[in-house]
Parts: sequence; C-alpha cells; structure tokens
Amino acid sequence: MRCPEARDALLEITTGRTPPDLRRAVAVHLAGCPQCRALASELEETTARLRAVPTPLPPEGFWPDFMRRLEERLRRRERTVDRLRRALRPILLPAAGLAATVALVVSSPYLRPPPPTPSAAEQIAPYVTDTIRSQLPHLEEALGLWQSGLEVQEAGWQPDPLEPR
Amino acid sequence: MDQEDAALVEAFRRGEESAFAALVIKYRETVYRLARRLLGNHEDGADITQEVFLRAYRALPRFDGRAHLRTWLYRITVNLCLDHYARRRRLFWAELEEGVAQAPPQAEPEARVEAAATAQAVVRAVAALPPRQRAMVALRLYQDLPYAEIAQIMGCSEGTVKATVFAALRRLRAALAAQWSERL
Repeated sequence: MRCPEARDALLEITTGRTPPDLRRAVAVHLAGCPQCRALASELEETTARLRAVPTPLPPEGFWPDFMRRLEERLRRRERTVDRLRRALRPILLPAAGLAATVALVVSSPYLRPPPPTPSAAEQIAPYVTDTIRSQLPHLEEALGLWQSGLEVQEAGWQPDPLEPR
Repeated sequence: MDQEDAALVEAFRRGEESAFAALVIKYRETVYRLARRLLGNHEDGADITQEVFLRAYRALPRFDGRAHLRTWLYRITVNLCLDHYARRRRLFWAELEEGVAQAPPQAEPEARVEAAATAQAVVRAVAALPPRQRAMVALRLYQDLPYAEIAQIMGCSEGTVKATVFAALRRLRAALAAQWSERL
C-alpha cells in the first residue's frame, strides 16, 4: 500500500467503519511509514476530541410542543390552500370554460373532415360550354364514352393482360 | 429506501396522515441534532426542523424513493441550514456556551472544567469552519453517515467529501493544537 491509499483509508478508519482486511493493510503500511503514522495519530486524536463533544439535546418537553406546532402549521397551510381554491373557483371555472371554447373554435377547421375530391369527369364538366356542345353535335356521345372510361379508371379498372389488343 | 419508510410513504400517499406523523417521530431527533450542530443554537435548530418537515409534507407525494428517505431529509436540512447561515452570517457564541453547559458531569470538578473547556474550544473551532465543510464534518462524525451518502446529500462526489473532511480535520487540528499542547 502506498501513502495516498493509506491516507484515504486512514480517514475511513479514524472517522468511520473499515473492513478488517483494509485495516490490516493500513497497519502494515503504518509500521513502515513514520509520516503516515504521525498523520494517523493526528486524525485519531482530532476525531476523538470532536466526538467527545456532547450531543445537543432540546429542552425538556420540547417534542410534544414541536408536534403540536407542526400539526397547526400543516392544518393552517391546508386551510389556506382550501380557501385559495374556493376563492379562485368562481374565476377559474368560467376561465377554464372560456379557454376550452376558444380552443375548440380555433381547432375546429382542423377537426372537420376534408372535402371529397371531385371525380375527373366532374372536374372537366365546367369547361364543356353550350357553344362547344352546339358546334360539336357528337360531343355528348364522345363525352359519355370518355366519362365512362374515366369512371372505370377511377374505380381501379385494369385491362385484362390476356385480352388481345 | 428501507421497507418501513416505503410503507409509511405509501400510506401517506393514500391519505393516511398518521403515516406522516410516524415519519416525523422517526426522524425528528436526528434532523434536529444536525440542524442544531450546523446552526449552533436550539431556537434556529428547532425552526429549521419544523421547516424540514413542512417541506417534506409538501414534497413527499413527489418523492421518487430512489434515495433513502433519511438522505432526502438530511439534504433538505443541510440546504435550509446553508440558506439560513447565508442570510444571517454570524456565529452563535451565546449558544455555544449553552452547548458547553451540557457537558456530561464528571467525578472531579477539575475534570469537569477541563472537559467543558475542551468541548467549548472544539465547538468554536467547528463553528469557524466554512458552512459546507462544517456540514460534511457533522454528517460524518456526528450523524455517522458513509461518505457515499454524504456525497448524495451535498450534491458532490465522494472524493470531494473525503478531501473536504480531511482538510477540515487538519484545520481543526491546527486550530486546537495550541490549546491541547498547553493542557498536556
């Protein structure tokens, strides 16, 4: 064991509890090290003197009075908290209601379901004016075919791969 | 946290007020002794002890139980004492005399005077230590706590606690050496 380890252990030995094997190792070190031996005696004496100072005791009858005062203070605190809660209730309840309403109003656009996406046929319809219809007499028929084709496509229609093209 | 403390804390959380009273009775004396050693007089020690349990009552529902309840209470005590000391920044000479008056009665009046003088010198020397150093010395020598627990209470490493206690003991030795050599 070296001096720094011995000194660390000395603090444990002189001020607390130490396992016997550590005590033995320190004793071996102290036998051959006069500096650590001097330090050990210094620490031991100081600790003993400090521990000899009597434990401070409260005056007679202190604890029952202490418990009474503590209970009073705890009850007073609870009464204060209750009073505060009761006093704030008329303010806090409407405020909480108002806050909830505001939150609902603000968040309502986000809560509504999104509008349905128009089909491809519906998207084309506004562009087919009466002028176009009168100029192209077969347009209705062509549009009918075209729209039915788009609807089939929207419904997920896939051509049969075995059907000849 | 030991099983008894865990059961009491749990009962308190369920609303049993008597569980808190049981915790106070269990720890009030050690908390008082620590506070009184750190502040040097009965009145401040008693006030701090009340404050420790008031704070514990408020904070106990949030106590996570990772540390020993005793460690938690000592931590509150030390912090309150350090705050108190910082606010007042004075030594309590009058109360130190009171502490000395409690020296155990000896057979010989001469020995009694001797013991009282030594105790007075020691108490004054300890009172002159910086507050954190004093707290660590009190926790080690008077509350008999392991260094690891003191480190938890003081919020520093175990190595720092050991170095601080070591420095404090050497400082106390130096402060008291002259007086001891006179008496030997």
